[in-house]
Amino acid sequence: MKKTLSLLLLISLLLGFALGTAQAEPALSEDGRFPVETVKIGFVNYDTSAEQVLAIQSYFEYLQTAFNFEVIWSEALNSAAAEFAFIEQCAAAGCKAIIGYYNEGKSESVKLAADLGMYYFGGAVNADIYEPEKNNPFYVGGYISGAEQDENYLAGYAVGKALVDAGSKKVIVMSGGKDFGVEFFVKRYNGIMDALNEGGAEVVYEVPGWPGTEAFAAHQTAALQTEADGLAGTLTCMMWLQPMQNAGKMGQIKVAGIETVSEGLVGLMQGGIYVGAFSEIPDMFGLSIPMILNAVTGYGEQQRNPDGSAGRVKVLNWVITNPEDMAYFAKLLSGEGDERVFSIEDLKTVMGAYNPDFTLDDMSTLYSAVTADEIRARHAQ
Amino acid sequence: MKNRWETIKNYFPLLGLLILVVFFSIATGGALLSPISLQSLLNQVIATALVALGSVFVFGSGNFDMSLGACLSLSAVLGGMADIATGSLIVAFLVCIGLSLLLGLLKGLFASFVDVPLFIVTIVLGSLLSAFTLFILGDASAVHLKDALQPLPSFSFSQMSVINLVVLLSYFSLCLVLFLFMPIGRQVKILGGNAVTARQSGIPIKKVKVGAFLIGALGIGLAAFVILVRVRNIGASTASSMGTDVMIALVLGGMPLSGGPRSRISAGLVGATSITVLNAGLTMMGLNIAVIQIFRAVVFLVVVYVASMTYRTRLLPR
Repeated sequence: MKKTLSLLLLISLLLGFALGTAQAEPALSEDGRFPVETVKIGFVNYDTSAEQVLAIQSYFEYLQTAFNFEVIWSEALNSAAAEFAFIEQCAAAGCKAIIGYYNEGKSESVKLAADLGMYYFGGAVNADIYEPEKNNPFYVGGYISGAEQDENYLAGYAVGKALVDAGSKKVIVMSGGKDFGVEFFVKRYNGIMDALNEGGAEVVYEVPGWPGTEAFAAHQTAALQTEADGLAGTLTCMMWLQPMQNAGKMGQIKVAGIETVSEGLVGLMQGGIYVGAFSEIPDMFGLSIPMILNAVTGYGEQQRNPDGSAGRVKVLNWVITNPEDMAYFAKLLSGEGDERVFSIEDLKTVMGAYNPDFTLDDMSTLYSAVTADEIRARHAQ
Repeated sequence: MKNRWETIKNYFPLLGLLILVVFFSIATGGALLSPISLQSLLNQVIATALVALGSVFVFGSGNFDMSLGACLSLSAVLGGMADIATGSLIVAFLVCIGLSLLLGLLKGLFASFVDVPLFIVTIVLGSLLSAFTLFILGDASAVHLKDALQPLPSFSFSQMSVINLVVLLSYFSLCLVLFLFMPIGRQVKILGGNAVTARQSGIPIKKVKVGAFLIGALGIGLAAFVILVRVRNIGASTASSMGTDVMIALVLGGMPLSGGPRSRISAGLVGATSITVLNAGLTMMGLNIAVIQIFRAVVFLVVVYVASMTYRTRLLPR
């Protein structure tokens, strides 16, 4: 009797488990992707050849192996009028959502997409976009910095600190658009200066403006004639490598800047030329896919704030100070192998169809865990 | 037989547009002709069509204006600033139209009294106006109507389509009447065909040139206002490609850029619609960006070849 009861209990448990599993697996399309019907999405873009855009395209192709969505990529748009035209064309083409990678029309772009019955992702970091439309049910939100301080200040601080930690005492600072009042350059510059001051390093030369001008080249030449042992950039420092080589300073000046993770940077870090890099994570924009699919499949409310306003997912970026991490991140972004910064399985944990209990906090937790150790730990599970 | 062929050739631009519509209707599974798409096409065609319609008078009279985009951008930015300062769309409308007419008058006077190739003057003027627009914008990249003194009426997608339709039909009717039934239409074509003949025929050349630029400027002013109301965020890059778009539209519409007797008012509308249908259709097909650009180039070549059959030897400005 006891054995029979145990057997019945086991069978019922197995049956319950099987049923439970079946409920967690949503209905799929004929080719095994979620959801059943293809979700068309318009992607508003301003530079079709930008490295970050190409990386996003590659990541979306990876996600498309599991999720049933198509993307209509805009051409290089440069005005709100062109952006509006693209949004309208997407509506006519049957798009269910717009990803605002570029937004010149501010909140009007969100309003137009909503007016045409499409969800809108992006712009959550921009008060001009977020505040007027945050209660619009078609606005799903986007991401904001999860850092306690300003992201651009922290980027600059990380760059300055990497140089100080590497022992640099006399530093060239490339200030970009700081003197033109460009806000994010000012913040990055302030971050660099604070880190250098705290570390007891001095600025021996400040190079203003953007590369590609005669003035910039003249400053660059003058800066390389100083006794600098460090270079801090409010933007990428790649354009310094050749002049440093020509001036015979390669290896003598350690470099840190705002960079895009690449195989090239791995070699430069291994060679001791680069000692630090702050990098945005292109795959971060993949957050748009679970948020849009949640909205389309009826789980949109769960990813909104408790007051009903559009969700703002907290994210962090990469501060890279060793070649091992750089190599690991470059491999993740290259698409080689199955491992990604945010894998398909990771995304499923914040999609209502796979995890009906997910919350907005779950999204922030996932997208804030971006160090090499955190990614490895997540994928080891 | 030859006359009949000549008559048929006049309809080639329209035929080209029809082929584009049929092709993209099939390629998009009918989406191109859906109600949303038709309203969208109207919203997109409006600015190019308004400027192109007026430009038929300017280019038709043998003048080559390279400052169309810069004039539109400055008019819209100043109109936006006026709107923000006063909270009145009427004031914004008057500023857009007034400034555009002023610039049109300036260009007309240059064309009439200064013996310098006008396309050079307008290239310089375009650069100057773009620089001035950046200067008055200062640190801001654009003017935003949300900053207006009083909240402005916000128009929905459908309401905007109705406004655009009314503005476009009104201006098209005006241009049609002026071009077909008023002396200036005939004078523009004669002047564009041969300035010496025009002078010897007693045509008031200076008045015609100024008049042509003022009619064109009205279209630019209307386009600036329509963009301002629709987009509500105007920067220096607004309508930056307008000059090129209008020239392509006129050629696609079957009009030689050198002007003259083959100029026709329908060229502005047919050409602008052709460009819009082409761009919208390619986007709606969801093609790769590179494929879109190759496809567009091939279509342009074919349509321009067909459309230019009536004026093959006179495509370029003299």
